[in-house]
Amino acid sequence: MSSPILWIVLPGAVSVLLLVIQRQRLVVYITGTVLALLLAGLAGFLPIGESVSIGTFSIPFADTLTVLGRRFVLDSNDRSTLLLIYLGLAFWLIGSWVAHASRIFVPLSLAVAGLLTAALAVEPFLYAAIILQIAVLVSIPLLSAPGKPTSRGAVRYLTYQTMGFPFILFTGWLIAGTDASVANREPLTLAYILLGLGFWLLLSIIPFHTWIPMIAEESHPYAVAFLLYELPLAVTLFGLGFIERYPWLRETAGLYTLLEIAGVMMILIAGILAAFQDHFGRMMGYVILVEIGLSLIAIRVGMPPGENERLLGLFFAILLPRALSLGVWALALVAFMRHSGEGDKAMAPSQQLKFRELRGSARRLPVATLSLVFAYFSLAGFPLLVGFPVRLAIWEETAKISMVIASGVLAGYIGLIIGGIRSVAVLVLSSDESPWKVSETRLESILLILGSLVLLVMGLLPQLFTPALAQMAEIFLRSSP
Amino acid sequence: MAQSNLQAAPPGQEDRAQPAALSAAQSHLSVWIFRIFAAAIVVVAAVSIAPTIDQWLPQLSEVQILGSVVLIGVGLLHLGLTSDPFWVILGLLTALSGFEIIYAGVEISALVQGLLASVTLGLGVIGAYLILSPTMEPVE
Repeated sequence: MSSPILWIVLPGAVSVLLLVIQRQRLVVYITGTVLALLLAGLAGFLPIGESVSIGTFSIPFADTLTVLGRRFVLDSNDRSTLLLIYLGLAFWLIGSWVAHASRIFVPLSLAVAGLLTAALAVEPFLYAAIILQIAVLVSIPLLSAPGKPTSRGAVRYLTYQTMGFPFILFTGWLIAGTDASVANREPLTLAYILLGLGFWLLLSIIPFHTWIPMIAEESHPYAVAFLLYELPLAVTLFGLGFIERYPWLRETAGLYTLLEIAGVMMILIAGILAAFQDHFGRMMGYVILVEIGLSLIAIRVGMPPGENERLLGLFFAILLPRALSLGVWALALVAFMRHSGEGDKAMAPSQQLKFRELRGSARRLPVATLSLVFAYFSLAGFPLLVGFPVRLAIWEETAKISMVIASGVLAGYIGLIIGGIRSVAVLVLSSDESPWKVSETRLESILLILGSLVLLVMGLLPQLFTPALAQMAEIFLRSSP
Repeated sequence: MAQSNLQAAPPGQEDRAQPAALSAAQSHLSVWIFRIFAAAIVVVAAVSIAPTIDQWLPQLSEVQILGSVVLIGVGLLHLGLTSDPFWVILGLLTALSGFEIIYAGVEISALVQGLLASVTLGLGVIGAYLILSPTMEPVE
């Protein structure tokens, strides 16, 4: 028995089994959720790399699995990463029942989580790019569900991600012989360019971002939110691993400039475009683009890793607020979809979340409206909500680096806030003076209210979770060889 | 071949019946002339780039490099000219096969070659899925 078998092979095998029995929705849901919680719990307590004693039996629990000459390593330093992945997965799976996600959501999300774990465990870690590509292929049915028209956004997503990973692979070969010596700069310059292009595509940085708003409009909001949380997280962790591993990369001043430019461009353009959207799904897509930009800025603030390790914790500290906010937002959108267009059953899913269809919906769906407002403004960094403290810290540190960059970031968030105010106006204002009523189901209301309370309480008491998450930076850097 | 055996697009999805529109467009002479010229430009660019790449990759022969660069270029050109899932997958497979020719010459790991093969197969499976999914049973 070994840790890669437990955290990589087991989720993959169970996902295949659950795909076979996908019609037994309750069984699939319970099995997937329990497995995710179990794996998260084991990540916290199981002695990795030592023997596990059960009574008189002692079972060796190795931390390495060798496949075709290459190793997958999950040692005790990877606990925090495993917790991050599987607790996050459990969070998304728990809400999937209320979100009425498709019956393939649980199996495929388990498979994606297993593949992301494999990507972070493989050595040499450059091969993670191929495993991430396999995760992309597995995730396509989540975005372009059976029985619905083929999602153009999913096709574009597949195109950009497939174009990105060969750059990373080729860079790996190019720098394999130049780790120790930086005397020969030419291959390093080429590696730098190829690496930049690869991550530009994988992270969907402008102009390779168009697929995100498209799938947010066409696909199920919950599946979109799950995927757009997990995939950029895996890619940014992969990128951090590169920076930590190669001295020539983090000693390049151009890297910091690139991170600043890419980050501020994403935040500024996506934030301003979010203000002009008329579809709640597309709005979520643009906010996710802003989040990707914020991650890049947070990584820049934490550079170089050895000197600013404390500040790199800001990158990890934004993960929990992001997951909570996206989850609540997605649930609210699902509630809107399920309770809108009731007089017109033939409405296409991409039409159900348009502003004109949801005008005045606050009177019918007050809980979903309030939750959406909380989630949106939390991601926009509004005070008193969970997203504010960490974003304020990032803005402060960004201003110390460059006022121009900080101004661009702030302008992007002003665009987000304008979009939020427009959304509230659309949902609340209506010429129809119908009485207020709660149309959400009991389960929807409970989860949405609980989520909104968590967003508020954690915003008022950030000291409860921020230090623990920020410490992950130290653990992550220690686990990189 | 897969697409030629498929049923007609479901009602209300005529706007997505791009294969029919594509075959109609393909029969137009100007489309063919444009595509041939575009491919010729890609081939000329590949011929000019190949010697430079040959210097970076001495392990590969010039013919291998030329072939792979042509495949990558034509694949990318194809991706830029279509949004139909079937043709997009073909374009991706073409570009990927060009990359795999180069990468096979420099990377000897069996795991990587296996993973690349699985990516290629996976692209084919996903391509078939994307074509068939509108006619499949919903899973909501």
